[in-house]
Amino acid sequence: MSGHKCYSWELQDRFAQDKSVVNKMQQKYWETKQAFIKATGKKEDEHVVASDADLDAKLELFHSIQRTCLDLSKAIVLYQKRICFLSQEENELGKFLRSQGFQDKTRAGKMMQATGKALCFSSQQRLALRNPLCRFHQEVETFRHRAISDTWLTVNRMEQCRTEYRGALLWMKDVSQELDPDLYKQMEKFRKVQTQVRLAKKNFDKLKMDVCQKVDLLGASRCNLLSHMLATYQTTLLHFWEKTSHTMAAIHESFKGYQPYEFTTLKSLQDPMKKLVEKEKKKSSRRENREAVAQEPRQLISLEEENQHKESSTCQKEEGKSVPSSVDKSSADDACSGPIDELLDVKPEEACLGPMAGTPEPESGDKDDLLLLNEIFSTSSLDEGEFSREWAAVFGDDRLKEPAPMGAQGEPDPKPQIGSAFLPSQLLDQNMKDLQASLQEPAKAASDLTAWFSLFADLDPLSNPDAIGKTDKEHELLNA
Amino acid sequence: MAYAYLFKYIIIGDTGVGKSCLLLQFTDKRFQPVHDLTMGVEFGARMITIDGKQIKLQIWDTAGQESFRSITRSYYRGAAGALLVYDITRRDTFNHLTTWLEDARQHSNSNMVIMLIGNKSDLESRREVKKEEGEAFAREHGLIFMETSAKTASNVEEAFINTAKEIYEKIQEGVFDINNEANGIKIGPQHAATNASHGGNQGGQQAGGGCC
Repeated sequence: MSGHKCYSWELQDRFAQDKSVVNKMQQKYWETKQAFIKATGKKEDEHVVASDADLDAKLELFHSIQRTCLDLSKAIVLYQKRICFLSQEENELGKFLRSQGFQDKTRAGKMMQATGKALCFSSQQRLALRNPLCRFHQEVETFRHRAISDTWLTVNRMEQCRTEYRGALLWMKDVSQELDPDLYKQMEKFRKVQTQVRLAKKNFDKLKMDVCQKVDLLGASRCNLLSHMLATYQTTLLHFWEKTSHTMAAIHESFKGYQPYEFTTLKSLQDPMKKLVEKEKKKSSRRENREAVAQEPRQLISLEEENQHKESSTCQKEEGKSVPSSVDKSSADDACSGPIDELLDVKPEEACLGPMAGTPEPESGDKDDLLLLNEIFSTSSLDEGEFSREWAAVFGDDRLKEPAPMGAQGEPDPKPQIGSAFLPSQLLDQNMKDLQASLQEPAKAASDLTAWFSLFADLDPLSNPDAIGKTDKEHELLNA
Repeated sequence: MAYAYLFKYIIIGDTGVGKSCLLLQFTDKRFQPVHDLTMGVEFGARMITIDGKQIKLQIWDTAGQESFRSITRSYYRGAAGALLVYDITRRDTFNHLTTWLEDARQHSNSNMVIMLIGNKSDLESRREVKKEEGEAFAREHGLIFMETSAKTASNVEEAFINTAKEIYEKIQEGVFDINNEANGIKIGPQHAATNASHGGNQGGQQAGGGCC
């Protein structure tokens, strides 16, 4: 009896074992099915995927940390290599300059020596950057091999549990299709699956929490690592730049006063025939200008404008192409300034050296002033003949043929070059010698001065407001 | 125990709204404050009397967690009534009602009676959803509405019984085909026995009449 009982217990135990084996096989089947779905990239249950959204975000962050740390490690290695190469090249250049400097006994040799020394010093200092970089690399590698590897193991375990849990959910879904709580067998089957789901979920949730916490810690520790190590590196880099810049600045200071070499390059060779043609054209244009000046002395004031208009048209004809109106006037001035320079007897090279050689033509305000002057002249009682006679009496006829007055150092006086504007005040400067000569003759002195004052009373009526609009006779009466 | 009809109920709603507590309060008359997650589905049953007839309510308490959503969809099939539960202290659970309702209407039969339940009415100080809002939502979607408290048992019985009454009325009106189990109604042994006795008497009389 007891034996029979024992046998029955054995049978029951064996049935339980069989059940557990079947259970394990079923569990393994659904787990494998889930793994297959994941491996083949088939669409998983959207709700299950959505429930793990926060975990997936954390995993994305983890993979990003893993990837960037590897990239950073590689970058540091490459950076160190390049620092070595750069330092080596810098040192080579420094040595070369020093060796060349010893051979050259001039000031240039000294400069080369100083620069060479500075470069050698800079290359040595640059190598000091390797210490914090080596430390940084070690820290990153330690972080990768310890912190990231540990998290990676946890992630792998979690992924395993997730597959197990999702497999159990697939199993439950399958069992739920034909579930009837009144049928004992179905309920027993469901309870078995439910237990499996509960267990898988418990494990998965625990590891899910671990992964989330570890990834958060990993992110924080990476921030600490980078801030600490980069601060050290930046300090070293700052010291390097300070030392190097200080050395370079000192050398730069010592170089002050050294005259640099100047090189002049010929850009094009002009054809001699072309030169002759240009000279002829310049001469003819100069003659025209002189005639115009002789006919209308008043136009001396706005001579620049006249010449610009004439010369720009001649230049355009010569070149055989029209200059666009939108082109800056200064460029047109440069192109056509030759005849004006010749008129003033100033060489084009010297004209270019003037402080305001490239100034554009007077603006509207200046034009208004010129118009005002013209009006004043027209209201004046002096007609053109009288004006030119008095002008001739003071300055002489060949006023335009005079060369530009020379300065103290034998350089042309810069005043006539100012915008090439040919104003009476400049005429005064140009003919100062004539004036002095006339003043030295005592017989002529009185008449010359009278002519001088009467001329400038007309030119600047504001200095003598009563004289405006009065005749010569009235002038004489007033003077008497 | 004999019953005339068996009505299949399904309780749905977001996780933590008190679905399992409502079931426990209705079936066992007790409240369990510890929140234990439902894995897939849990079952409960209770006999009630409507119009002098014994009706068995077979209640399927589903999991509210999103990972179980596709599993719970398979439980809608063959349900006569549904209790759509939200938590009056959590606005988001009320906002998700539309999703639950669409899911229920899509995966169950069109005649299923749905009752909207605003649970945890005892937590008045923490209320985030007004009663009027619940009533308006129910009116808009053609649902029955009630606010309950599984903790104090307020309106819990009424919620289940009123749903059963609504289903019973539909049976009387002929909206539900009681012979089709897909509607979530099973004819119990009591109803079968009553029908048999009525049918036997009628048959006997006719037969007797015929003989005589």
